[in-house]
Amino acid sequence: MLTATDIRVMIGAREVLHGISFTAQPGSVTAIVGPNGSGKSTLLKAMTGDIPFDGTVTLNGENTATMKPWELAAIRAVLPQASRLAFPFSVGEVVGMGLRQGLSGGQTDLVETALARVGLGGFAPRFYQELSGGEQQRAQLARVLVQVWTPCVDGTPRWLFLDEPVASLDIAHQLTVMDIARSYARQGGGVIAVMHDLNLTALYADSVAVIESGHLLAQGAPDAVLTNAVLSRAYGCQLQVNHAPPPHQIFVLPHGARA
Amino acid sequence: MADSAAPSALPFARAHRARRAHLWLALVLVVVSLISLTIGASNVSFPEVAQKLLTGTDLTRTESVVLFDIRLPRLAMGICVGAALAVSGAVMQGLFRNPLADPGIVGVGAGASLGAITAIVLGSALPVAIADRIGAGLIPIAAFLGAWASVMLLYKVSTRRGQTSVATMLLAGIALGALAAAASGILIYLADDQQLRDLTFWSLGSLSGASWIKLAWSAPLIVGGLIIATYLGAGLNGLALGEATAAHIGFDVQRLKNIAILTVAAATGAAVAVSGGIGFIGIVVPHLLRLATGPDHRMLLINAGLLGASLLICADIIARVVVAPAELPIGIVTAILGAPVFLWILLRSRGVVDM
Repeated sequence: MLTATDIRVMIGAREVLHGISFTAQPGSVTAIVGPNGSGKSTLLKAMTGDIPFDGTVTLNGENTATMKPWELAAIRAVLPQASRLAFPFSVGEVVGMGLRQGLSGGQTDLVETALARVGLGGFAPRFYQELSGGEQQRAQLARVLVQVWTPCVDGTPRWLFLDEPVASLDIAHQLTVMDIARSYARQGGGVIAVMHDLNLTALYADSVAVIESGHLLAQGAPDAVLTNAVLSRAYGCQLQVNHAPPPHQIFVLPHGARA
Repeated sequence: MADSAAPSALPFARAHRARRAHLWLALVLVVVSLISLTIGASNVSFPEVAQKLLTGTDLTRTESVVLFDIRLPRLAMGICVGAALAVSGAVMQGLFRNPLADPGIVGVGAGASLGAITAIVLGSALPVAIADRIGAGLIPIAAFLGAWASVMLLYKVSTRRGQTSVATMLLAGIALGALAAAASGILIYLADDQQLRDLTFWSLGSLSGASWIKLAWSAPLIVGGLIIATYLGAGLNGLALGEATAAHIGFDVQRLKNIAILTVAAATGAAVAVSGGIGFIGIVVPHLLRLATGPDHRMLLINAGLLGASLLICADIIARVVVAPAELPIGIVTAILGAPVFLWILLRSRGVVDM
């Protein structure tokens, strides 16, 4: 389980997260949603240790602040929102950087498997910097996947932290990526994803946390959280939550700019 | 964007080339070294000496002095300095994620030259007893201390709560460099004509002062630094993905920075101290290798050491030959040869560079 307790983050002199407590279970996809600037990416960055924060984060019962980078890397991988690569590495080399000695080390055949999984089969020899934005994003996902390839090892779940994993992808690849996330969770791993698309969230998330102005507005099953009241309050606009005909998939329609 | 012609075959072929290059570059270094031992102002020929050594014949006094006290230490120093500059360049480029970074970026050059200038201008003020004991070692020692002090100061300024910001380091380096240059300026203003001449020659760089004594203290720093640096390859590769991602895939990024900066300070500090300002090797060599064999630092660092050493030995041969029996400062040769080659490569492969 992932537990974040009373997470506070200061950016400059401004507190942007006001003591958020948040949990995510292995075996499920947990989505973090909220408007621009609400602090959802900041929450993810605090949980992955990218920015200084007050509060505690435990992963599988262990305080992440006291864990070594390589110990953390063995149980969780992080997909950043955007990645810039400094030198002209090939796609295969970039994905291979997820393989480290002692983690999934040495299993070079995983690189090709992971690339095929994200729809980039045969891309390994290409220059990473020549790929389109969406292809780069998927190559990064492949790197993240090879790092913690097996979702659950001896009963210990591994974790994927994904910051807007579908941001620059077309609709087919959005589904590919979310399918990967779901299947990772179904095999016992934990997935935490910052999401923008509420319908995709409704379709894939097992649990949804809504962040607004640095506070946790609600967390729970999509049915319970994705409601007119919560969403309209969070996003400050009129949103209508509807149910499609069986199997009653939730979908969210915008109705107007003012709440 | 790079040339679209068959881009797919390229990166894999490069990785093989990079591994094969270890052998080829080592071979080149051996050949260049033998040439370097053969060529010089006096007409002592290496093959003759080698034959004498093999057959057990005694060397003449001149032969022995030229070979063992002049050419051999000079060769050893050339190898050390060339390798130090090229490997340190590659390490700094990896650390700063920028192909234009060089060891000077952490303040080595500015600090070393301030140290050297201080020694040249104020060295005569030292008590005779001390000056006699240190002798010709005064300038290199001062240069090394200057280099080391400026790197440590810059490092300290850029580190807050145990986190070193490379961006701060870059900018603070400019400020501290300007300060060091101003201090040097004051000393230059005070200097007499002979001191100015010494200073100019020091800043142009030369291996002519090579001796076993200088090697005895600089080589351990350089070789030690380089050996440690070759272990940074995987971490520098990770850093190409950004600091956060490097940490997420399991590297201790702060420790990586500490080690990189300290080894570069030791190796280039010592190299600059004994040889003066030799430019271009630190940028050209890693760049050439990246184009030829790819950016994988695990292989790049070793290849850079071998190629840097070979190139500097070549430059030294040229420096000794073109105006024999006098010799050119080696920094002039590396720049005259390095700059056009670099430009030519840049223009030819603009695609890869622009990315």
